[in-house]
Amino acid sequence: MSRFKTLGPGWAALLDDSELEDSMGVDLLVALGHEARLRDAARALALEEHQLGVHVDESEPMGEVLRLAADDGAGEGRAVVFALGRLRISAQVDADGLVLSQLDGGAGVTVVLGDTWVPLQLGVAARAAGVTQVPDRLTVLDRKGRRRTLAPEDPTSR
Amino acid sequence: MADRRVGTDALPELVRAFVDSDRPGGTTAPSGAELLDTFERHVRHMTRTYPDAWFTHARKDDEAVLDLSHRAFTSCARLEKGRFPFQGRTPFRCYVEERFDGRTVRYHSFYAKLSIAREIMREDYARNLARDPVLRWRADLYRQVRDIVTEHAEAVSQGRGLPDRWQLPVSGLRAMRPLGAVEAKLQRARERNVETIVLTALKEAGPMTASRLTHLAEAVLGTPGDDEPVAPIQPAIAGTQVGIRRAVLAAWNELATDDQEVLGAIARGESYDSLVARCPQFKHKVAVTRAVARCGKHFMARIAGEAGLDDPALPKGIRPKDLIELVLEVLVEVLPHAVDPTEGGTQ
Repeated sequence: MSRFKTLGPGWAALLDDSELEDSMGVDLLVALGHEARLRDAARALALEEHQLGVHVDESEPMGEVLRLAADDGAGEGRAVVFALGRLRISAQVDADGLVLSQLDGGAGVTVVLGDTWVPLQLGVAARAAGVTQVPDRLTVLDRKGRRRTLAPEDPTSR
Repeated sequence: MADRRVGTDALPELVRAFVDSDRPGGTTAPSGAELLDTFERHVRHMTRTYPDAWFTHARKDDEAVLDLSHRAFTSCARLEKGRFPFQGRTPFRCYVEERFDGRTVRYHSFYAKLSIAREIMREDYARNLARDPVLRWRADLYRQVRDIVTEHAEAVSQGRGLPDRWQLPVSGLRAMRPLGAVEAKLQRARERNVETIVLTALKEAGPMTASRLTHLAEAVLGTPGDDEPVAPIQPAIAGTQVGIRRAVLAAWNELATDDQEVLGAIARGESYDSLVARCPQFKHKVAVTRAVARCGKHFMARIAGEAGLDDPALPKGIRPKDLIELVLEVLVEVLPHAVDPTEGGTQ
């Protein structure tokens, strides 16, 4: 095969019949031309496979999908009902904080969320601004100041 | 602060907080670290289907994936992209200004076919194709395939953003065979000629892209083994790099403008006709031959003198091939405008 075949189109036909002597200088030019065309081919091949989407799988991790599927429902967090005896309190996160509603139980209950105390009134929603997550347990003070801890109610129990 | 409620997507808020903090006078946001964690997690998932060849140093390991996620993050934070939907903005700024939701941010950053992270992988793959000994064979095969289809076939556009397919000029209907059957037939025949493989595949299996033809030819010919490890550049020759760099630059500057045109055309893989169209004085064969001889002799004299090629004390085991490879590396680096077609020509 002509040593000039690896150069750009037309060069081999031109140089094959010439009287160029074999020299390292000419070899260097041929090697240079070959390298340039190989690098160009490498770029083009990579681009072609990239455009064709070889090895591409556009799916997200399953966990992410499940999380988003949960989010597709109401657009806000779902209400969680905390209960202890007759005392029942609903908690739900919205854009402005945690909304608390006492559903049942005696009057004078105050919910404790860290440094924030939220007094409740039966049937009236109260808001704890800045709280972005429904707690695992709800701590309250009853009318005598006793601390109680409410757990999420089992939704199938009612 | 990022919203971490269960059932909400924190990513848009993480990006917004990072962009807000990433400006003069901005505060360092803890969201940066969390955003980077998110990038690492999604890049790890996105890359699971890719082989070694698409990663830095042609090796897929934790370090390479981590490196990719950091580069994707940097690209999103710093590089203004021209294409849709970025339109001259950094991806992060675009996400904030367009109020993209988390799924859209992830799509453009990681999961889209042409995502930011996959673009970086394409660059790594191209670099590996040009440097890794086995992958260079594939790139050279693609070069041959492209030359063959350019000469014998016609391009069929697949639309914007997709490579052309190639088909043989034919008239009338023709029965096509599954590509697997054509591949098996060529393997059974132990076909070694690339042109025969390409033309047979186009004739019997119908139009296809040059890359698909390359992989078919690779399957028929068999990928060469990596039994010739790349010899590391020895300290003795590494020590001459500065000298060779100087010599290459000097040799280039000493060439007449016409000779630079010839050398540049060869180095860019330009066609002879294209050179003549630009420089009509080279339509005479003798003028070209003399210029080629002159350039080669001049370059070699400069470089060989610098590298001590004629010196009997040339480091043992260094072949002329090693030297030429080294010269090419330096030449590409020193004179990218002459060698790399994407950098523009000598004009």
